[in-house]
Order: sequence, then C-alpha cells, then structure tokens
Amino acid sequence: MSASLTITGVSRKLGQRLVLKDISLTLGQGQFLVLAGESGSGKTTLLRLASGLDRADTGSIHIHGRLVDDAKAAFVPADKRKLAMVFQDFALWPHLSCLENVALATPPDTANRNAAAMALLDRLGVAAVARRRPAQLSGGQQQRVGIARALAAKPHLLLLDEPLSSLDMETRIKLRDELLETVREAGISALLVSHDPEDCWQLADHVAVLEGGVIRQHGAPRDLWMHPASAYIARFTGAAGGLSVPVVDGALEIGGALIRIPDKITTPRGKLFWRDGGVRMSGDGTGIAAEAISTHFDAGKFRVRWKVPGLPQPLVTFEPEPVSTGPGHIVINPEKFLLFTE
Amino acid sequence: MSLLRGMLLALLACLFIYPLERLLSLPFFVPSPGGIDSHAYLNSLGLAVLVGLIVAPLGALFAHALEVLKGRAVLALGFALWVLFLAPGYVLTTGWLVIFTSPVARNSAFGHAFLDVGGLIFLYCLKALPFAAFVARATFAQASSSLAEAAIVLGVIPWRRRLLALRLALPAIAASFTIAAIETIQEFGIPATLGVTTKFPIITYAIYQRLNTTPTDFAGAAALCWWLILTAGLLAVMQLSVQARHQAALTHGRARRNPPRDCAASETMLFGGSAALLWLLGVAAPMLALIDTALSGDISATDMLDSVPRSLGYGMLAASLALALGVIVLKLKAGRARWFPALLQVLLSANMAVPGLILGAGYVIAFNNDFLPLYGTVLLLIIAYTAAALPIAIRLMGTAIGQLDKKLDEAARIFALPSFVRLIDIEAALLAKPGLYAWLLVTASVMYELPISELLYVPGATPLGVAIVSADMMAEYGQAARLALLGLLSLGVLAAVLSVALNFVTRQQPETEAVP
Repeated sequence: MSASLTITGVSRKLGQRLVLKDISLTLGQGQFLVLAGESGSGKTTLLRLASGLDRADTGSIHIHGRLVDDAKAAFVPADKRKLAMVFQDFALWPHLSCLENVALATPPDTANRNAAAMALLDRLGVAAVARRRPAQLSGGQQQRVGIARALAAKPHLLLLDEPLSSLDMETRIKLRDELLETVREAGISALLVSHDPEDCWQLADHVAVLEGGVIRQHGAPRDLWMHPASAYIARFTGAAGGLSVPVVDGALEIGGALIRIPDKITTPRGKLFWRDGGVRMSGDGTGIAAEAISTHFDAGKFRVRWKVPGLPQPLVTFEPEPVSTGPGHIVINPEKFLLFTE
Repeated sequence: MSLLRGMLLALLACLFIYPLERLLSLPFFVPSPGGIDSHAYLNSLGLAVLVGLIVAPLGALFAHALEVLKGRAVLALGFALWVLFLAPGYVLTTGWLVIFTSPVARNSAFGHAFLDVGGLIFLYCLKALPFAAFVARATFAQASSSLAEAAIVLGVIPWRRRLLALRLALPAIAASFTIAAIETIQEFGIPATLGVTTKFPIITYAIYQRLNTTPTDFAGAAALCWWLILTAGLLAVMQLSVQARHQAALTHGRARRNPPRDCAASETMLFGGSAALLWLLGVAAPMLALIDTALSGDISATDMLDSVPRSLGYGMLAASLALALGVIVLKLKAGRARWFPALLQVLLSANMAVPGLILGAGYVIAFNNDFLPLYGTVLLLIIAYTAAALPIAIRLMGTAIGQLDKKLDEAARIFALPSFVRLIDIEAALLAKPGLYAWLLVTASVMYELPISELLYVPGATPLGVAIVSADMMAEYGQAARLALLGLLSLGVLAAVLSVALNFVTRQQPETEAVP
C-alpha cells in the first residue's frame, strides 16, 4: 500500500532565502504526523507545498502514490489533490452560515449535502449554532466548524496548520482530544503543523522536526524523547537545563568535578540538558558543593536554583520540600544528561 | 484638560456647526425666489450612480491587484492612481479642453462625445477611480488570504469559487460604489469647467450659481445642499449596511496575509494595460496638452501670476493651522474621557460628508453680518480652508500617530524626560517625515481648492483655482495651463527643498568608536 504523502528532496526558496533544503518525508496510511519546529523553520511552507498552494523548486511530492508536484512539468493544483485543510485563522467564509460553510465543502455528488453537513456539525458538537455566521461563534466553536468543513470534503489527507494555537488552554485541550478521535474515526492520514509539545505527545504517531529548513529528526515521539538530535528537540521534548558547560577530554566539568556522560562531543563547550532526576539535592552532604540561592513553589514541587562554582548560570532542581538558601550539595545522574555541541 | 476639550469643541462648533446650521436652516424659514428645480439634482444623481457602477468593479479589481500582486505593472497602476488622486479635477479638465481646441479633435466622434455628457462621465470616472480603489483596498487588507485558499484546498468547484470570491469582494465593491458616487455628486471642479462648456446642469454648480449670481438665492442653494447631503448620507448608510452584512474581517484568530506574488502573464497584460491607459488618458494626454499650450503663447502676457505664490502661501498657512489643530485634537482624543472621542468622531465624519462648497456657502451666510463681519477678508478664507482641511489633516496625522508605539512615550515618562524633550526628541523626530508628507498633501489640496475659493476670495487677491477656472471660462487655455503648471512646479520645488532639509536634519549620525 502506498504512503499517504511522500516528499522527496524538496527545496523551496522564498526571495533570497532558502526556506526548505532537500526535505524528504513519508506519512503512512492512517497515520498522524506532527511537523514541529521553531517559527521560521519552514513548517508552513512545507504544508503549503503539500497542499498545492505553492510549488517546489526541486524534488517531488506524491499523494497516495500519485505524483502531484515534480518541480518541473507535473503539478496537480490544490483543488484536484483530494485533501482538506484546517487553518490557524479558521478561514471560515464570513458571509455564510456554519452549515453553508460545511455544505459548500461537501462534494457535489453527495446525496443530501445539507444533511451530511449537519451530521458533521453534530459530530463536532456545534449543530446548535449551525445557522449562525462564524463571527457570532467563539474561537473554539469556529475551529470545530473548520474541522467539520475539512472532513466534509472527504479528504484522503488532512492538513492542519496550527489549528489549536489561537485557542485558549481549556478549549485547546478539549479540541485536541476531539480532533484525534474524529481523524481516527474517519480513518484518514493527517499532517499537523505545530510548535506545541502537547500536540506531539497527544496526537502524533510520528514527529518530524524542522530546523533551519532541514528535517533534523523524524521518528516516534518516544524516539525523540529518548534520543533528541538537537538542543531544540531536547527542550521541545521537555528536558530541563540548557546550560553552557566546559568539556574536558569528553567529560563535563561541573563544580570542579569531571563527570563522564554517554553523549560525546568534541567541542570545548557543550549545551547541557537533563531529564527528570538528572540533578537533585543531596540529603546526606555528599556530591558537588553548591549554594541554594532561591526556592519557589512550582506546580506541586519546589524549584530550587543552585549556584555551582565554574558554571555561568544556576542549576535548577525540583524538590518535594522547600530548601533553605545557603550552602548545600547536589547529586548528578549522568545517565539522564543530554549534551549537544554548542 | 476638560477646559481644553470644551474650548476645542467650541472652536469646532464655530468652524462647522454654526455656519452649517445657519445655511441649512434657511429653507425652513425663507422661501426660495427661484423655486427648486430638480433637474440639476437628477442629472447629478444619475451621473453619480452611473459612475459608481462603472468605477466600483474596476476599483475593486485594481484594489485587489494592489493588495495581492507585485511587479512593475502593479507598481505603475498604483502610481497612476495616486497621481490621479492628487490631480485637481479642473486641471485635468483644462488639459482635455485644450486637446479639443484642435478642430480635428473637436469634430471627431470622440470630440462630440467628450464635449457632451460623455466627457463628464469620462472625467468623473478618472477622478473617482483612485478613491474607489483606495477604499476597496482597505477592505481587502482586512481579509485573510486563507479564505480563498480554503476554497481551493477543499475542492470547491471553480464556478462556486468565483461566486465565493465575488461575495467576499462585495463589501469592497459596495465601498467603491459609494465613495465613487459620493465623490461624483460632490465634485465641483469638473462641472465648473466642462459642465459649463457643455451646458449640462449639475447640482454643485447650480448651488454655486444661486450663491454667486445676482439676485442671490441663499434659500434655494441651501435646499439643494440638503439634497446633496441627504443623498451622500443615504449612500453612506447603504454602504455601511453592506459592509456590516458582508464584512470579511475575522473576529477570532488572526487574519493571515500572504506576501504579494508575481503577476501571471495575463495579469501583467491586464494591469499593465490598465496602467498604460490611465497614464495616457489621465496624466500624459492632459499634461502634454497643458505643457504644449503653456509654451506656445506669449508667456510674458500671463495675467494673475501672483495667484500662484498667493495660493501657495494660503496653502502653507492653512496646512500648518490644520495640522497643529489636528494634533491637539488627537492628543485630547487620546485622554480617558469616552464621550469626547465619540463626539469628535461624529463631528468630523459629518464634516467629511459635507463638501467644501456647502461649508463655503455656510461661511458666506454665517460671517456676513454686523456681529461677525469677516466676509470678504483673507482671514475668513484662511479659516474656511483650515476648517475644510481639518478632517483630512486629522486622518493623516492620526495614522502617523497611531503607528507610534505608546510605550515609547511611557518609557520617556518613566525615565522622567521633560515634556519638551519628549515632544522634540521623541514625538517630533518620529513624526517629522509623515508630518511633512501630510503637510505637503494638505498644502497642495488647499492650493488647488476651488469651491471655497470661488465663494470667499477677496476681490483683487484671486486664488489659483479661481484664476485657472476664470481663464478657462474665457477660453484662455494657455494662461490656465501656465498657471496650473507653475503651481505644480512651485509645489514640486517646495516638496524637494523640504525633503532635503528634513533628511539633513534627521539624518543618522555616523557611529563613533567608543573611547577606552
């Protein structure tokens, strides 16, 4: 069975800037791929190439095995690609009611378009506002209508351009669950652009991370967490730290102690991150001498900042109880460290 | 601050409400000796609707192109629209009248059509087109690019997509229609020149005739002013209702804008061709005709040359007063009182709907009595120019001030900079460039202003607009052309000198190395 989306060696220049460089990516049938990356990394440009709203300069794009863009002669326009899109700014046609918005996107050969549209609105929980215009709805309701409209097109591939980013936290959590459920039920493949790690954990079968126009890492969320390929991915997957530390013969120098860690780098300084438990306070006076400089309550734990000799920035640990400021000791678990070239 | 606001409102009441009240109340108390002839009004209304229908789709199309496309064709189109926007209607008309002094041109089919209603429609369309395009552009600027993209990606079939695009463009087309119709029905320069030549009655000129022909008929003029204001008001209400019903701005989320894209070959042809046509018909043909006729006669025999520096002086003075008053209004408007901005908005919007002709007529009546004997003085002319220019001055400066980050001033306050330093080193420095452009624009509009000048000028001190139209009336097109071109030349020199001076004053100091 062919993949839903195959992007091979695609590059795209906007003005003088090479926004995408030799991108290759595959989205399997029925899978949910989250395309993550910082602002300006090229996520939206890649989505626009996949949708047919823009053309690649080099490379090729296949949707369900069909060549849709080879950067030369072959180009299937967006309306012929049998896909749908959910927009960050909703893009609901403002002069039409919600029902009309969804009905208009329903394929013309559908028996009763209004009934089909109403069924979709009902499924997304917005049937009660079907006769209203988009401007009369809240942001969450509008995006539900946007999702219903996308599903109405009966797409083979669903593209989502940061669909949750302009919503408040409560609505975002609810809608994220509903979105996953709806896409799974419909059995379609989805490509979602986001810079929110929650989308990665809760929606993705696979995550592709774009950095500076190249795919830095592509894999299951667990793979990214276990082996982040860059400092950005480490931070994105929830690692703490980000300290600039000196590296001596492949070992880290922290508070006068040399600490050997599994990740090897050859540069004289590195960017250090750690997973939960990588750094903690020592209760028995062993470990590296440090000075607690502040303690703050932080979501059920106490965030303690430690000044460690030789480090330019404080280290942070999370403790179950408040810690008095002053001299103390910290323990380091090198197994939980992640080190990247600075 | 409240005292200042009160004084400002009193001043605005003196400038706008009092003269308009005096004029517009006349028909209720004084019968018109000549009665009301609806012929001129119906002619003007018909022309306004026709011009609106022609110009609205074109204006919306051009506005859309200016908003989403880039390239030389679109640049040329935008520039042509700006030149047409700034060109006074009667100067444009003079250029074309010069072309038709040639017997070959006059006796051609185009000549016959031009020297009749066809010429009026043609010139009205040229003058209304930039207004229509600029107003529609503001509407398109609010719409998200995603609206059209959604229709493409979701596979909406082409004819439905076109229908959808048309529905989305409806507010822009409605806005274009309204502004084109209002501009046409309120235009005075074209009727005062070609309208007189073709003997086609137009409402604005009919009002002027009643005020300026013995025996005067102020009540009749005021009644016609009512018709003009009510029509403009009705058109504005229609546009607002369409705008409210079909507004494309999104209320949640942020509207996404794609950067302008390159023109396709067909678009280059369409908009390049349109730009070429506008440059040819709206700029090149009348300007070349003016230059040719200006240079062909006895240049030393040109009368009323003093009208050029006089009007330039009037323009500079009125622009300075209008902008200074405008900045005070905007500063006071930014205060906490909610009623003040609302009241100000109503006052200034109402004044925008009232053309200079009506304001001038109001001044003739309001300041021509024993208590306020200002009629026939330069002071009243300057006050009227300032009052007429105030709404546009406020809008121009409002846009510039609105772009200043409020935090700049707040930061200066927090760091305890004295008000004088804040005013000069922060606000004035940042507003110098937009302020200069606004001042030049207002100076130019006052310099070539016609209806107020016609009604209020001091005998023996003829303003430029009156001098040009008088020369037109006497078929002395060479003189009219020389005056028009000298005016443009003096404005150009003024703009160049001030721009150079401003660049010199505000140029960045070269970085100096820190001394260790």
